[in-house]
Amino acid sequence: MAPADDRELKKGSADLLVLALLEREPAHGYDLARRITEGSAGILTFHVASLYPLLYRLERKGWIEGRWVEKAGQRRRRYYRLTTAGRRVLKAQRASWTAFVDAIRRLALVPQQE
Amino acid sequence: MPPSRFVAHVRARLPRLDLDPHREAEIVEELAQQLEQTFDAARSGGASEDAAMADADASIGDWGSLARSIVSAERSRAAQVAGRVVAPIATEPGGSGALGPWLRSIWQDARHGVRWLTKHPGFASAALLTLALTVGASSAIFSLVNAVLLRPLPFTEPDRLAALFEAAPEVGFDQIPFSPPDYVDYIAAQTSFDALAVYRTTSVELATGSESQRVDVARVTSALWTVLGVSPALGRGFTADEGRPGSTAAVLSHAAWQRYFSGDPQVVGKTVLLDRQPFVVVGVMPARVAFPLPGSRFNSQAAEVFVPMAFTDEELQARGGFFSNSVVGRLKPGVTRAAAQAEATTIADAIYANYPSDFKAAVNGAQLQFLVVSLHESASGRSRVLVLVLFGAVVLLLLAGCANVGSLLLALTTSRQRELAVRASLGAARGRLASQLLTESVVLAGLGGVLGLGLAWVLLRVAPQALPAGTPGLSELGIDATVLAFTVLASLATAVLFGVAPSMRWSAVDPAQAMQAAGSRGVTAGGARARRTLAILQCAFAVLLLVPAGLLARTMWTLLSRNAGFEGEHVLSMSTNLPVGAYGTDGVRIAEFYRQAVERLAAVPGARAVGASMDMPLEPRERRGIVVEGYEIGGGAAPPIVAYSWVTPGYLEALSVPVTSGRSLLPSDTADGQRVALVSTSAARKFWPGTDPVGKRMKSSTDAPWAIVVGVVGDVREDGLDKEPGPHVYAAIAQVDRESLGENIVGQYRNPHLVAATTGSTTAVGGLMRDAIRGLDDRLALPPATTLDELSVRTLGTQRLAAVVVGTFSVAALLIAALGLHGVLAFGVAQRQRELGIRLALGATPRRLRGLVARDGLGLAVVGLLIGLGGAYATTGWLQSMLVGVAPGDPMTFAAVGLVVLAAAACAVWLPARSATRIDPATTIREV
Repeated sequence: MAPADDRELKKGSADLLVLALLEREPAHGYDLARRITEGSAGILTFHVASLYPLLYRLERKGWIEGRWVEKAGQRRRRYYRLTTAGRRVLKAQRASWTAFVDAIRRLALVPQQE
Repeated sequence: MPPSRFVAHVRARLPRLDLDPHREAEIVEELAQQLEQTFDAARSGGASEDAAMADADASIGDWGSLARSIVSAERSRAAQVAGRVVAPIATEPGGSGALGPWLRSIWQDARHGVRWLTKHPGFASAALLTLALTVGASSAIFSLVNAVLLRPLPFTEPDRLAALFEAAPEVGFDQIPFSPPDYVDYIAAQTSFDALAVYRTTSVELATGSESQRVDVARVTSALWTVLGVSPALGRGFTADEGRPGSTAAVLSHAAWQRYFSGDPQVVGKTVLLDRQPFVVVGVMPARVAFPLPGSRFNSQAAEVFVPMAFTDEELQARGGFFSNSVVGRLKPGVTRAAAQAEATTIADAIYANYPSDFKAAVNGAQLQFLVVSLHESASGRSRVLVLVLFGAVVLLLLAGCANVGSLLLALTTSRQRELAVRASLGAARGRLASQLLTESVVLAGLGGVLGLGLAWVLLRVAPQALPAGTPGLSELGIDATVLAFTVLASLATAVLFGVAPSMRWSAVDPAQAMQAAGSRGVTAGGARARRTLAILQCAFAVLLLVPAGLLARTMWTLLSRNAGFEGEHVLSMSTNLPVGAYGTDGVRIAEFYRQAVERLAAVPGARAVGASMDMPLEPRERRGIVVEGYEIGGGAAPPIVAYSWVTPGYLEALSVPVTSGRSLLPSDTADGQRVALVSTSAARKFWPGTDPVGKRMKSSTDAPWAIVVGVVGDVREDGLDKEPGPHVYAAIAQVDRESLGENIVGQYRNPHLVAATTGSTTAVGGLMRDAIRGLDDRLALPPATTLDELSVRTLGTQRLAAVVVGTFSVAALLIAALGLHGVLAFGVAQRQRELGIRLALGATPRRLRGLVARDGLGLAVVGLLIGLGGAYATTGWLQSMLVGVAPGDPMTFAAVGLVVLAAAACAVWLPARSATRIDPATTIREV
């Protein structure tokens, strides 16, 4: 069942990333993709083909909320922000990822006598 | 601002989404935004318009797959989950009291369960196979135990029935049937029993019309029906008046009534020829009553015909002789077996004290005891150890199987803990989750149970053929409700214990905490520890089965390579019986038959050496206390009790029993000549220690004339290869001791067992033997000849069956253990993929990783092995009575089992260890 786990994990990490970025401030899709790429120094990239469906799914779940915002001299853009439910999920996911990363660090990243 | 030209661009490329048009327009607009911003960014970076457009398009990738992803996101079930977040649990079933939604949700869960199984064929087949194997095997063997050990006898208040024996432990007779005078004295003195009956079995010729066959007959006293508490289905039993020699009443078994009289309802009053003498049928037994009970040690053939018996004056005088009368009694209400035993001991002591000289003469003063044994126990005694061993094997297999399924389920719940924790944190009720897991577990257990039931059905068709023939209860063997309940509960308990309980532990705690733990995936310290424990247990269970299997295999090996003391491969044996009606009671015509039969057999082409005996070869035979001249009992010298066989000259030669000193029996040893006897090597060693017995004198009983020992012959393991040969005396049939043998021995005298060592095909010679005997008397019932080897293999039935079944089970348990170990390691490797990948990336060699995983797995196996060996060492003592030539703690067997388990563990460890080195570090790290 490993492949299923991995898929789930990837999905889970993407959720986490998007939720975490939106926690700081509301953002539109293009912005989110740019921040992920720049913030990870290019290690993580999001294709549009997965970003927008992800946003729509999170919106469906009620974790984020999209809203059209018009600014002077610009076309209107759809900004997403975190909902209360999303904030709760983010807290839980943070906890679980922290534990996971800790475990990896303890187990694998600290050089051992091997 | 005007709509951007990118909207048209998107519309032209994105396939129709068929969503709400307003929503679809929104999506198109948003994607156009995305393109425009990418385009603008490229332009400001100095790209040409075309290059920037290409960049924008590239950021989208495949429009088709984008459309599919969007549609799937928009229509995702998550939409409903979102609804639940807002109003959690309001629609949870179970709380409302309405049955409909509850049933619907069960149905949903069951379907989900089945779907889940079909999506995970590896898990499903492993779990279902294990369940089927354990449920099937345990149901089948439990049915067997139920039928053979637990089912009551087909008599009224069977708990009050007891079998009585005499015993002379000093001479190694733990249980022997009664001697007539002892029985008469006992019955006069006892107060414990409402009624007692005596019976002996023999076989006679039964003739209907021109057909004749040998049938098993029980001579019984008239009290039998009172003792058993059964009434004949037709007619009556015997009256007290019929209990005298010469009575001609007969009662048919239900089967004999069907077979020989086609169930004729008018059979009472008809005449049947037994041994060519007319008997009048007075009754028919009920269908379910089989008596004597098959499986008893003596007189164990279920009778087809019952005839009255009474002791002759001769028998009544023979204190310390004729130990051939089986006794069954019905205890008075409220009298315990222990009380009856205490009384019997007192009576035995009194009898012994009253006749010191008789016992001194007859059994050389060996102290006699009376034993009161439960009838059920005495009948199942020979199968009891076997059945208990099988039962133990099944329980171990069941435990191993449950541990395996449990381990699989634990792995499953562990990998689903994240899902469960998320759902719990989103407000799903704990009851709802529990009910889903429970339903899935029940689906799994149910499917496994059905498969197992099929397997049990097959096993129950096969098992009776492997058990000693005549084991009681086999005819009613079937899967019954008790058995079903037993196995279904076992598999359900496993499923619930390991499928539901661990998840509940998680959902019971604070969801955030659960998420934290579940998210970390290593979580699962608790779960991993449990799975490792289960893997250890599986190894231990396999060892617990393998050790007895090994011991039994060594026993079989010992027995088969043992020298039986005779050559059985080319020796044919054929039994018949000489009817009283044609051969009289004075023995003259019988003696003539023996002489002529041996003469005719000797003329059969292909028969090398021929002879006859009054006893079936390889069957337990009469034991007698003999008198050895000059032999003093006491001071450690055992009384001379021996197996006593009357044989013709040529009999021992046919069996290739060597004469080690003196001579064998000769045709010149006639009734008028000097009485002679042959003694076996062990008899010579025991009763004539240090000297050659040839020329010494002995007699078959106090009153018999002296016989001269003319030769010493080799020991023969006639009571079975698993028994040590005892002292044996052979005397000439021609000199059969009519004075002291009386009518009883004439009964045996009347049943010649003819043997012939053949040089040609045994089948052909067997046919010629029949023809030769038919030439003497064409009405004799002659069953086909069998070789002595076939007979001797039959005596190994118990050990052979136990070895085969326990061996099969231990292989199954070993497989289960190997699969379990493999599962735990493979799962562990999958879970540690990242750790292992990072180790690889940091420079660990594949070899090192392989070692890491292999060491881990072998460590588990070794712990299980040590536990199993310790447990086996503590428990194999139970097998003692089935083992021959090997000690329960045999170090060779234990070492061999250790090697086998380690080899199996090495195989189980190999694949996961190898897969650990196939991890691609790049993939692993990117996934994080």
